Amino acid sequence: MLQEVFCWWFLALAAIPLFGQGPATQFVSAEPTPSVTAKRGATVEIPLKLTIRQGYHINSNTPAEDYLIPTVLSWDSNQALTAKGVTYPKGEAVKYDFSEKPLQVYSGAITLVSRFAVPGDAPLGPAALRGKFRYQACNDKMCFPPRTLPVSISIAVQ
Amino acid sequence: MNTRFLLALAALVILASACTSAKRPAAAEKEKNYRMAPEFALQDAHGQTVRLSDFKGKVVMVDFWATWCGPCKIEIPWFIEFQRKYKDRGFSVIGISLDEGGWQTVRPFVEEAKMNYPVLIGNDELASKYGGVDVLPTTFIIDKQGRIVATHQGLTSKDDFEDTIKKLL
Repeated sequence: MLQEVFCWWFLALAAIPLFGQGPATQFVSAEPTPSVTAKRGATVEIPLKLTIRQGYHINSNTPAEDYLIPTVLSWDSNQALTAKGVTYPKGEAVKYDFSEKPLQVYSGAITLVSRFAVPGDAPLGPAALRGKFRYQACNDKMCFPPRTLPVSISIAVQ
Repeated sequence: MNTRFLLALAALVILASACTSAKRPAAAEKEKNYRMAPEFALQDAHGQTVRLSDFKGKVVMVDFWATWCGPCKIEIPWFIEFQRKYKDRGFSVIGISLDEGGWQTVRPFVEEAKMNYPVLIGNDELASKYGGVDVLPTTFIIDKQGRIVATHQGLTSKDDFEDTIKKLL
């Protein structure tokens, strides 16, 4: 009995570095976005590159069925940047056993382009903006509750 | 995946196998170690409170699902069939939706799918009591003594479910 308890305890400890990502494991990761330089009064477009874990997919921004949870990128606004909209990539049409028609999903690497306005009175110098990438991931056997991935961009206002 | 990760994973698999071997002599005790299914009291679509204890003495299949979960939609017609076939022999399915939209989202689905078993709206507290349900579908099979005798995460074969139900009835 003692041997068994020790064995599983040791196994659990050993597994932490490999799988210890907590209950809210992310299925999407974001590449760091290089800082962008923009002038006061300008509009800038900033791409955000994301990678979806192999073997999983997430719904596109416009999934084919109402019941599916769309992928949404939202940004806070601050004195230096005002979010003006996001352009999402086109989803890939994939037919699953549970759906009568193909669904629009993202898998692999995707890029979303966000547009920002820099107010005429924006403070000069570096600024950062935080955003939330909300998605719902599945593979062919299981689905996971919606997740929110924090993202950020940095800008230098001139 | 890098080589170091694969080596570490291989070591863990070997260790897990050793642990399983260590456990083998105690296999006869397995039955005694089944966990009792946590009690819950949730409202159905008609506002009636449904408790797990209402099903005392029955074989119960508690299915955590959501309307946005594709694999769940494959299993639901099977569960409707099981409910029809085994209801009179002391069996029931209980569907617990984890939809954030509540009944506004779930009710139309239940009606369209003609779900013939109790459907309830779950919450994080209940999911946590059941071990932190973070994969859908997750299905717990509970025996007549109220013990969780099987847990299935993800799409499972219809035969696996049905074999377990028959064995327990």
